[in-house]
Amino acid sequence: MSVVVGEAPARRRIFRHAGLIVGAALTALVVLVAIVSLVWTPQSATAIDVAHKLALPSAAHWLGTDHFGRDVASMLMVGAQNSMMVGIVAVSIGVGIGVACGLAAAARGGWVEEALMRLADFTFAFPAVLSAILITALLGPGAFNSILAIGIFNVPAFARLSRGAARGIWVRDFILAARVAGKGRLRITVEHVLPNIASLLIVQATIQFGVAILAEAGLSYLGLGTQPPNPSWGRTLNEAQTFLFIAPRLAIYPGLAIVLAVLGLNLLGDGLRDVFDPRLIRRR
Amino acid sequence: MALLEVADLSMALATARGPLEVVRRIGFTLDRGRILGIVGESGSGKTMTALALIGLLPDGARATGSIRLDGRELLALPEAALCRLRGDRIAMIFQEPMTALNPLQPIGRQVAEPLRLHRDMDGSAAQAEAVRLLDRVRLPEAARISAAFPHQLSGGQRQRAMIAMALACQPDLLVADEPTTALDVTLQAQILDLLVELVEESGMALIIVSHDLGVIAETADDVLVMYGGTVVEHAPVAALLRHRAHPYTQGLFAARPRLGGGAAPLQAIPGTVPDLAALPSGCRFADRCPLAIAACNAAPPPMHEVAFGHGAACIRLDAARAGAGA
Repeated sequence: MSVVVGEAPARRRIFRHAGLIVGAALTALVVLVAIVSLVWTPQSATAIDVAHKLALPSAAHWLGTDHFGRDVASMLMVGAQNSMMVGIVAVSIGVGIGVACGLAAAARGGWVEEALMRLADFTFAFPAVLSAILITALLGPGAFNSILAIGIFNVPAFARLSRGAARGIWVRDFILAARVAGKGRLRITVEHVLPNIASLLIVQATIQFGVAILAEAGLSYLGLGTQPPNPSWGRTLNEAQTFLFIAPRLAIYPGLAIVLAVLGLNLLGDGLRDVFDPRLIRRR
Repeated sequence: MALLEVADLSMALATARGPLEVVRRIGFTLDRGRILGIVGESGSGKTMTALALIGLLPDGARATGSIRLDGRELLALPEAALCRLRGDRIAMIFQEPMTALNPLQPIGRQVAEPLRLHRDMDGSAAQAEAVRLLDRVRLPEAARISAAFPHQLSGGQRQRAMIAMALACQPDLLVADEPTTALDVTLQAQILDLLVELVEESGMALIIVSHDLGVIAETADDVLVMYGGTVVEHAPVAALLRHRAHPYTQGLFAARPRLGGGAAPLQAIPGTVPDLAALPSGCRFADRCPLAIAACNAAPPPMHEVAFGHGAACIRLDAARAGAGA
């Protein structure tokens, strides 16, 4: 019997993919910082020390202090925690509702599919950040509501993706074989369709994670997201704006944090797609 | 009572231009331990017939008439009851073994699936049974293959695995839709031999759907020749090999390549399969038939008995016989 070993080439592809490695490293860095900030930060992220406001980087304040004398490094670390939370919850909402809808649409077809997909189109018709602003304006600003808003506009993206991918799986012969074996649609969806589109969903989730972080930063920048005194990258950026000409570094640090986190997640997502998407593998 | 009785079975697909009749009033019976071959070109309705038997018509398709398995009317059964029947009493194997297995699950798990579904077997018992089934379809090193993934097997091995999966619950009826079309010629013979052996061992009934007369002639007891959604001729294989009554069957035989046939060009049947959206009201083969006369287009030809158990739907059988004799 000829046994082709599929694992080794996959591993080799991962280590050859520069974008994937850089993306994974950046993402790991952000996650690590967020985890460390849970138990330790160089200084308190909220302690105000007006005597040392706008201080330059030093041994005590690695990245200096802001206009209230708060430690910028600590604020960014806690902000990373905030961004991670936003990404995880918003993507979970998107995946949970969106993938369920998409799979149901693909499995049932007919009017169920039409209704769900037109609903997704309707949600898509509004620019994501605009609808997030609308939701936070209606429900009131705050971390929870902004996460909810970002999660809701994640839903149609996942619904569409999973429905399209699932339809591709449903026409495959092994689905017919499963139906011939006597399986119902729900069981086929869970056992055969979902595992076969999982890699696609993981890639999309990674990218949407970055989008969610960016969106939360945007909402916080506008004052609709995380509220003071809880640190968030978006709000730190907003506050730094006032001192742009006195202390430009205060704007650069959170901006850089946002860029690196989003860039890392996008590179990771693209890299994962290149490595795992069987259609791309076969083309090589 | 025969195991399977199909009567007056018609099927229509829903299209934007209205219903499209893809199968018209076909009927046959099949006993346990017998093999029925359904032969026809692409678009003759043979695969639709196979799918109707297992109750898996495409969305929007409608079947009328009667399909009785052991006296039980299948067309009237709700989906849940059909699910219990599928994979248990009726099983099916497909043309393309490369895609008919889930690429993410090991072979053994998939082979054992009908047992878990219909026999409530737990994991390890089903797994052991899967190995036994793989062994039964003459796969060497069944235990190793059971743990392998589909991409690690060859086409012939996968088709054997598919057959093992179909046999899991010892079905009464196995429907094989072009089971060897995607395989090498040497493998074809092995798979067909295996199917015939399994029928002899288990006493199930087998329907082989194929466009290849050679496959049917090698395996089947009886043959159904389909054209344009209708049965044009039915006969025991031996009788059909001696005498082809219908002009279409004659054309099909003439179009098949033969060893030692020299450099003589194959005789193609002129024209193409009729457009299902614009089916002629009379004989569906008339516009490609060398013997067609005006009356052929007037009404669908009735089935004429040529010999015992051998019928052909043609009004020019005498002319066809004269042509075949010459």
